[in-house]
Amino acid sequence: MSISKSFSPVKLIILFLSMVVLCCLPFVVSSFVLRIATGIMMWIGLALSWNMLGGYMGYISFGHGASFGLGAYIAGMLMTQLHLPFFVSLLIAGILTYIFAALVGYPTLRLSGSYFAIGTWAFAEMMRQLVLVLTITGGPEGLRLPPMLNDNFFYFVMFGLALLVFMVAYLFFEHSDFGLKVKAVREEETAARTLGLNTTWVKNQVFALSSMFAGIIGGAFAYWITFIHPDSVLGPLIADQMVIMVLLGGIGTLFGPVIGAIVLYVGNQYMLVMWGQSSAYLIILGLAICLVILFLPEGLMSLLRILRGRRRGIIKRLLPGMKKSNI
Amino acid sequence: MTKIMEVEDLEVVYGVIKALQGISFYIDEGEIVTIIGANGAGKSSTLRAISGMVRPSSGKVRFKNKDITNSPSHLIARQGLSHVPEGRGMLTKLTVEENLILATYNRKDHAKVKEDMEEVYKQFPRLSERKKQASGNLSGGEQQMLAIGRALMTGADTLLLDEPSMGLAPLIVKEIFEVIKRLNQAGKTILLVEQNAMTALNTAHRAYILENGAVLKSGLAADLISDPEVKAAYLGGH
Repeated sequence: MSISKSFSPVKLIILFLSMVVLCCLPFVVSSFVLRIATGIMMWIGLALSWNMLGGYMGYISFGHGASFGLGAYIAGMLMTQLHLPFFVSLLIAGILTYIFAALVGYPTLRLSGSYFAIGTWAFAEMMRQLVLVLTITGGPEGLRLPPMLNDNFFYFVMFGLALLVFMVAYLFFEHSDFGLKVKAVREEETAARTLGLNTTWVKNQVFALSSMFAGIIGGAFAYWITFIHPDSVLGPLIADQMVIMVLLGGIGTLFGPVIGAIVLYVGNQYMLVMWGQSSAYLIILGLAICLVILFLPEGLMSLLRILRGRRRGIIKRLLPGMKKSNI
Repeated sequence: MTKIMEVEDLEVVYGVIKALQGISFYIDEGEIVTIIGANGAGKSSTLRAISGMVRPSSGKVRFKNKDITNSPSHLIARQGLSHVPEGRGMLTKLTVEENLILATYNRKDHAKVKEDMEEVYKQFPRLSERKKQASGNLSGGEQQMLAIGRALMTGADTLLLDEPSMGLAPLIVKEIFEVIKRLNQAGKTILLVEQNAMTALNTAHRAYILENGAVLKSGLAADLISDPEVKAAYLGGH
């Protein structure tokens, strides 16, 4: 038996049209806008991959940036030192990140809640320090990849990857037996085990799978940016942004990470253009997070629900003292 | 009758606290056995040690002539032994139906799953009415029914029920115990842990009384009800 829910025809048409628009994008917009669009795609993919672990399974990781950085370094090293083609390097980076995460997951997934968050964070920090001292990674010098100056190419790579992660989230996490098992782990792990679920296996799979996607995207990022450094691909801000994007958009939903990634990345770029490098972005980000958590605990996705006409429930929640007759 | 479960010198230690100091008991196939005792007597620890949720520090659990003492809990569940945890263990954001479906994933007898599902809905019509509702929105009694229904959907023939009456109104408690009796008549073996000693003794065939992690008394439930010592300590004696 399985659970069946599917998209309505209207939604399918909207989805199809947006796909067409997104495929035509490189041919109508300036290269500046295209680079921002590529960045959005990358972050959509990353936020969706984090959401598999943090949203559907409820394991909040602050170490997901390590998978991104690991993928970036593996792909970068394969391309510069073994001169492998880009897509082959990307594939190997994905596989190795998967294996690596499965090994790391075995001890860390025994932790839960904030202990898991701290454990993964510590692990990511360890990775950064390791890459800094190793010579094979270039250490603090960073790693320079062969440049490939084709904006359209990278846009389509990131778009394809975001689409892939989205489809995996949709097929395996929203609409499958596996997704139900993952959600059961989030809701009540012990109860799930009493029902005969091998929660250790489920947890390890989700951890490895979501890390793998972050790793592949990291590999693509390395080739796109052509220069990677421990601070740029293994810094804590990478993981932090994934967490915040998902929280902002709506944790544990399919479209939440997409919306969160778009809003946050566009906001970030806008401020960069307006004020240059400053800490104003972080301050406004903090304020935005406070507001969202206070008034829209389910993220911006719950705003969509307001538009869909479920106004009352939300208003009641915002103004608990209000009488029914006033609404 | 054949013994379906045998527990031998089971000992559970949490840090420096000995929750179970080596208890032994058995359950025959088709029986309702109850373990009663005060808070902290070791009732829940017993169930948790049987279902593999905590590792016993020593002792043995045999189920259907197999040693399951150190098996992981999901494998124990797959052998037909289902633990309905204290507090009902609801997967609150999942619907009633999803809760039930989830319990069937470990089964191989797919043909019987549908039959069992219908049976659960027949036993608990209220669950059928609320199929599509999030299980967190059910009332306490409905949640307990879902927890039991879910255990049945795993295909279990033996149920470990941990305080099914907890936090429920007397009328609902009565209903739940009716269900337990009905399930037993339908062939399920039941190990029932309860603080509500009177109701438990009235439902069960045999009983064990636990105090400070050891078996104080055991025997037929009917005998224990009239035992003056039990009366005084657990039944608000007269």
